[in-house]
Amino acid sequence: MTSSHRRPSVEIFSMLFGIVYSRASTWTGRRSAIIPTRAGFISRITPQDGPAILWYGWVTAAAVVSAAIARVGAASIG
Amino acid sequence: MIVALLIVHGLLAVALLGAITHQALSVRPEAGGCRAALLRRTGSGAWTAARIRDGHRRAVCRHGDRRRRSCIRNARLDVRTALEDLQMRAANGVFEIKEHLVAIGLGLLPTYWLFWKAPPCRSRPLRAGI
Repeated sequence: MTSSHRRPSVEIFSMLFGIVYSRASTWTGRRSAIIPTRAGFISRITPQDGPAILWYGWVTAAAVVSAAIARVGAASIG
Repeated sequence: MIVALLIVHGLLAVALLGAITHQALSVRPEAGGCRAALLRRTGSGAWTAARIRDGHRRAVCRHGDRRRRSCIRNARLDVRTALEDLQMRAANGVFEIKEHLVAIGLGLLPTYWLFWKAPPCRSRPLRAGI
């Protein structure tokens, strides 16, 4: 029995992460945006703010979605 | 402070190079026995830890004012605006590609750690040496 047979969820997670991330990286929704300022980050965006950082939202979305699908997929396999 | 951060960043890059070199050496066909197994075992942990630590340092670093500030935020505010003002699109694009590669690498880390297991060391039993 190999490691992948014991933990298929990890394998599914990694396979899905890149796909979900590539899909999420086209998403420019304001909920995933973080605005950098000199004082820190703000998440409430106003029109006066500059360009937002979307990377954190993309990574978080990819991790959450991949983990959820991997959990369900591993449960259905096992 | 920025010099110290640059030195630490360089040291981490050297550590990553060392870890990946150890792993490359350990998968040679002629590399067998306890030494290769040890290289595989230590290389996996070292690579994963160094990768996470380097990624963390890229994301959050401590500055002289003892407050945590994001390096990505500083890059966005200071570096990226200068690059865009100077119309340096290639440099800007390379930074964006690097961010995507870091993200995809983060997703691959769990499976990498799971699969990179050392085989049992059977080539030279300790009893034979005794």
